[in-house]
Amino acid sequence: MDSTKWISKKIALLGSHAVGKTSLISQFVYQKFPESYLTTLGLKVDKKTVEIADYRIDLVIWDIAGKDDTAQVPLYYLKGCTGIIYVVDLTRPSTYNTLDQQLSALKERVPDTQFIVAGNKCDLLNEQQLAEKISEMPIQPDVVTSAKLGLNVEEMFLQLAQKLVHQHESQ
Amino acid sequence: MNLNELKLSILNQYAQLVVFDRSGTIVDSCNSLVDLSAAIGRSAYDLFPFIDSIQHDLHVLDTGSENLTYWGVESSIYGLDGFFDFEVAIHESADDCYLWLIQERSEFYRTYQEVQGERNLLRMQQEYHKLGVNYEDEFDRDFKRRQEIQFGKDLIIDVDVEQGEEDWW
Repeated sequence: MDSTKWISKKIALLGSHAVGKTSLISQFVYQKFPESYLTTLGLKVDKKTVEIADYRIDLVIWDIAGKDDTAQVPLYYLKGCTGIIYVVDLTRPSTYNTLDQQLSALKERVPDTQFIVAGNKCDLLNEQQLAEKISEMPIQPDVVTSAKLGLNVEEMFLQLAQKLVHQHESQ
Repeated sequence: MNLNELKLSILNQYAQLVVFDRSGTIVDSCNSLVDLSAAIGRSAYDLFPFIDSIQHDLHVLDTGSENLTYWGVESSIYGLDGFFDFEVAIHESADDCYLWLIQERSEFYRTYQEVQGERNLLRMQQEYHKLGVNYEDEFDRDFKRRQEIQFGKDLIIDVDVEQGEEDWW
């Protein structure tokens, strides 16, 4: 008998404009890196099923338009989100200078949500530059990614899915 | 055709209403943008990932909260791709149902997307300029593409103007 359990989880990607949220989703869902930059205006919803242990999880992914301040994202956009990936652009300090404040504010607004901080565009930096950038961030990223090269993209989403399964089991 | 009929015929090109009940079953649709006749009786949660993703938020409408509005949603509705504004409300004449208003706004949002994209790229370039770094690959590709598009547009406008002048003379 098949013991697979089906669950559906809404997750969202947040962060400033042009940090690579849409590209990360495109790489994860379609294994494609968009050739040109097209900004997300309101939101876009994608879906991908992943398997973690005995679970088959429908990840419903909300790609929300970039905001420097996440307080501008309506609360009902975030309601029902079990996981949030906060994306920063490793080459632009303006996208991570207030990361600690952004995360605390988000955790207050959606307290039961699992978070992952992703430092994207690592392909534009060499090892030394990468280490320097990470050291100057107020909070260390959980994962360093390159949507362009597909580096750590799948792993990042699976890491979040793993957290969601743990949370689901503990409820 | 009276004014109301005329107004409706214009609105028909941009808006559609879909009614689904609390279990998600589609019960009615005006079919002005996409024909959902074959979807009547099927689950809106299965057919539309967006509606599926807000199904747990719909109950807030019962508390008398404002309608749920989502603007600039890039989506595909039964094969119709584009940008839409969505509004979900409790159906006034059947409170066990939700009313989903779909407004097709692709033309407006595509122009907006182009302008917003240019603004974002400019802001990025300014930040890199301040930092004294240059990620050539990151920008040049997009700026060149946009310049080429603009050049093409200008060329078309010039030709149109010249053509117009010729027609005039």
